[in-house]
Amino acid sequence: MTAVGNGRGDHRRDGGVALLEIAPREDTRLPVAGRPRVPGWTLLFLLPAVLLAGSLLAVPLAVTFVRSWIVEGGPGVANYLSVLGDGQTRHAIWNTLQWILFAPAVCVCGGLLLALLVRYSGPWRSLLLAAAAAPFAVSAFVTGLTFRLLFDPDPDRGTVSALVATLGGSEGGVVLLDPSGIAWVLGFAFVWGWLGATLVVLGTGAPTLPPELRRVGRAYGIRRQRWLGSVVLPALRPVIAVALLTVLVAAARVFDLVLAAAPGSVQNDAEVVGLHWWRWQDDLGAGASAALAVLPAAALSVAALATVWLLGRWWPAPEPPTSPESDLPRTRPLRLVVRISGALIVVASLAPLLVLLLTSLRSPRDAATGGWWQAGWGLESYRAAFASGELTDALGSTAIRATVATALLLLCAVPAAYAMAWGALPRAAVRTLGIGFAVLAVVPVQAVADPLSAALRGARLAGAPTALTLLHVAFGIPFAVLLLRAVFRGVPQREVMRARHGDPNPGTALLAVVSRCWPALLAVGVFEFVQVWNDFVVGLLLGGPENNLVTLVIQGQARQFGTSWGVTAAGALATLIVPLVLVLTTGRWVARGFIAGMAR
Amino acid sequence: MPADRRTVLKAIALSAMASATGCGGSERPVRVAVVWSGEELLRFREVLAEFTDSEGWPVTVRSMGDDVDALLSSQVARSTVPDVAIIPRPGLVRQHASRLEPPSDWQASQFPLAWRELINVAGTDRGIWFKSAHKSLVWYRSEVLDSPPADWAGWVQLSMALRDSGHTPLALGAADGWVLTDWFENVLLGVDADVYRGLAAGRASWRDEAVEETLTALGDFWIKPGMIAGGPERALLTQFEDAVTEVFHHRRAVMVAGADFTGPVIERFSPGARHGRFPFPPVSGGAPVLVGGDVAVLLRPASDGGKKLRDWLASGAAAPIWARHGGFLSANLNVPRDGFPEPYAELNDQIRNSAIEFDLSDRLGGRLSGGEGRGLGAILQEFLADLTPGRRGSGSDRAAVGRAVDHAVDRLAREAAQ
Repeated sequence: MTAVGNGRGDHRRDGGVALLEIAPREDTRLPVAGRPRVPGWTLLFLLPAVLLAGSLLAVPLAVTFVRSWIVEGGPGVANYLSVLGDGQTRHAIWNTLQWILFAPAVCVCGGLLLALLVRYSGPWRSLLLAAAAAPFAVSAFVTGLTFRLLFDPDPDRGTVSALVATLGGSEGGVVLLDPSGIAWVLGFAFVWGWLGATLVVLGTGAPTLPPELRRVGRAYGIRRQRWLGSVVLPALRPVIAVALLTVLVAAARVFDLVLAAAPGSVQNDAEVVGLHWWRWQDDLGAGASAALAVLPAAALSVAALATVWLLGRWWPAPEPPTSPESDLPRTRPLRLVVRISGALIVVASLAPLLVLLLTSLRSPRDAATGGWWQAGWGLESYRAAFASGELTDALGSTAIRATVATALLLLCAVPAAYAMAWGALPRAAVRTLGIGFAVLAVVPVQAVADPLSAALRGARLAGAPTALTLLHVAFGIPFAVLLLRAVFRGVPQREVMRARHGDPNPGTALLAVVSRCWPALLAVGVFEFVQVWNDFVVGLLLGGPENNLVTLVIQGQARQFGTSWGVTAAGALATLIVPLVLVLTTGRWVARGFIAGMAR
Repeated sequence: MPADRRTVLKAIALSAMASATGCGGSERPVRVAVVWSGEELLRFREVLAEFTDSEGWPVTVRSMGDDVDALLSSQVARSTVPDVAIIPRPGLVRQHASRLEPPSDWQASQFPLAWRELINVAGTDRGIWFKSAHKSLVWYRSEVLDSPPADWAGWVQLSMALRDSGHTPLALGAADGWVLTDWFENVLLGVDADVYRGLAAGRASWRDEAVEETLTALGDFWIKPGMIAGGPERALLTQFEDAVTEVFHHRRAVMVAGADFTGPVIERFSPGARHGRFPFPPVSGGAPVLVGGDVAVLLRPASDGGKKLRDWLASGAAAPIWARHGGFLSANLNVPRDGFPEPYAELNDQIRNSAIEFDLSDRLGGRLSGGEGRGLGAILQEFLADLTPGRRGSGSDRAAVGRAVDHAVDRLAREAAQ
């Protein structure tokens, strides 16, 4: 905004009639030729984030990419051909494609319906939100084994089989864990785990359109039937794009879910690219395994760039709906429908956790031989889960790792995001950084694991706790910077300028911006903490030989699933308490932080 | 046992003392890496507690994942390099022999030759066998079965008689690939032990008749209706310990093939169940003794504490602490026979005195090596799946088995060639 120096106050957009009018004078000096200088602090602010993400993600990704095109010293496509020529690999690719096609569609449609339900659920809103958000705190590995427990084909032990047997169905139990049914179990488990997160990303207030739009729509006389197609969906397109991308990335990264939920003999049927890569990387050879890692990374990069493009055409929302209005539907039958479906959602969200809890409260022997509805209660399983000491160790080191990684992430991402938002960078630089971070935000661990672990081994850093923590920070940076930049950019320019004028130190303005945007910082922090706490694949591929991750300890306890249900359930519950409490206590602000990020 | 105030205070005082004196001297704790978790890790901690009590050395134990290779090739951070590692695959010991400090000649001489050869490189043993397993056993409910079979044909006959009298003969934990590889190895040892050794050494071909004969024997046995609890399709969703509870807790089957560590599983989930065991019935010749085991190795440069722990594990003192719970055998001649409760003492004699064969699937390399969802185990799971009603196709049992065998042999030969 440029000040117009003719002394007439009515041109000023800041509004209000000033008693003491300041009349800025026109700047009549000749414009300086060349580009504006980028201030030194901007580069300094960007440095840690760019350095970490660049050295730990971008460089290894480039190495993998180059390696995939090298065949016996020269360039060639033979690696890709050999990967696509193997039947089992094609099956894994086909499975991943199915995940990518179905999971986002189901989760986003479900999330939109759920958002509508939340809006019309009146006094039950908080309960519904909390129940839907709870699964987000549960790691994919624990989700997988919970659903394996639910669908255990033995009607003495599996909840679903027992229900069907009681209702007069098949006496032998429902077999869904076999090759033909496993896709359903995995699908249910995935949707259970991601529906709440989709809801948060869509924004609990997504169906609440900007009021102007509603007025305009009414003024143009758009009829009820066409309201959805011509007003609501176009306005929601960017939010939907972000939600789609979030679920898409999760679907393409499915790994521990399959490892936990599918019995050993069904692993090959349920295999996805990431798992196949992990099982066969040594046998494939460097080139082919690089090619197999590049395929999903390339697909995800294209999706990420498309989302960035969609976001460029954002509906300019004036203020994010901080607490969207919630009301009850007008007619009585509709109210009943809302109430019943709301109750169903709450039950479906909490039932798996309840089954896990009840199973953990039975002795190891009783849990191995019968379901939770039979007698035999006690804390013996908890004692057994902690007896060998590895769970306590892992809980401690996981807590430290998650806390340190979260703190470091914020320390690196906040200045970088601020520099991108207000650092006077040329447009092209911001754009390049944005595209780079978008690609790195979706890169699967497998695409960088080989060069990274070689480097870690070379430096004798494999298994060092600091190395794993730094890797987590690097993996978290791209998404955090993108989200925070969008939020920071939304702070009115005059406030940033005011903070800067008072103090030449760039940190002051940064603090002023941060203090306005704390829900977004909280959102990023909670997101990172939960991700690191629940991590499986980064620790497995890059954590070194020691298993001091809670998820890996649970995997060790669950090697014999059926007979270790009590111990496994107790261990799983012990590991999910911290993220669950965190998500439930901060949920309201986290949702607001995300919406703020999305809406700008 | 609830911890009262005095024990808590004592523990605090002890830990304060330990930190003040730098853990009983200037030495740091001995670091041990193992692949065990859960119950087995708990037992090993009991062993280590005794070491700390008697020798005064504190020990930290870490459960390592699949990355044993990286650990032994010293490509990990200094803070994670163990002093002592306990490794389930003798092939890895030979591969990293130069990194491992050999035991003394006297210590090495306390093991039977067949065991020593597995970890001997250039005339020197590179570790000591700490834990061994006897994998040629079948466990059964003794109230149903009174006279165990002597050979494979007798076993098949007995199973059919059981089935005709209304019992389901077998439980099979086929969701674990290693359950099926143990079956395969036991049968193959009876068909042709030379081919078994040839396959382990990478000399023999998977298209050898012996492999085909082995698979046909297994297929003919498993495909018979009513032979396996729940049929092959349910067996593929059942893990090993589940199969044991199928037999001894739910009594839905009579027999389950399983190593010596089946005993503690029976006692844990079905205490008081009457059970017996017989040697895995051979197709021909004497009963095979298929074994598995874990080697304790000392990494170079050897630390004082590490050496002390390795020597203590090689002495006769360590094994009985674990062995008294069952499911733990030792080839170590220093461990006295009365360290093992019955029936394990008798099994222990067999692994020390018989012609043993080490687990084949733990010795294969390349695409046939183990792990969930891959290797020999996964191919045998597919073989079993080919026998299920949904996939076997039409025609006689014999024809269906023939097709499944051809398919499995093809895959084995193809994977071995790659």
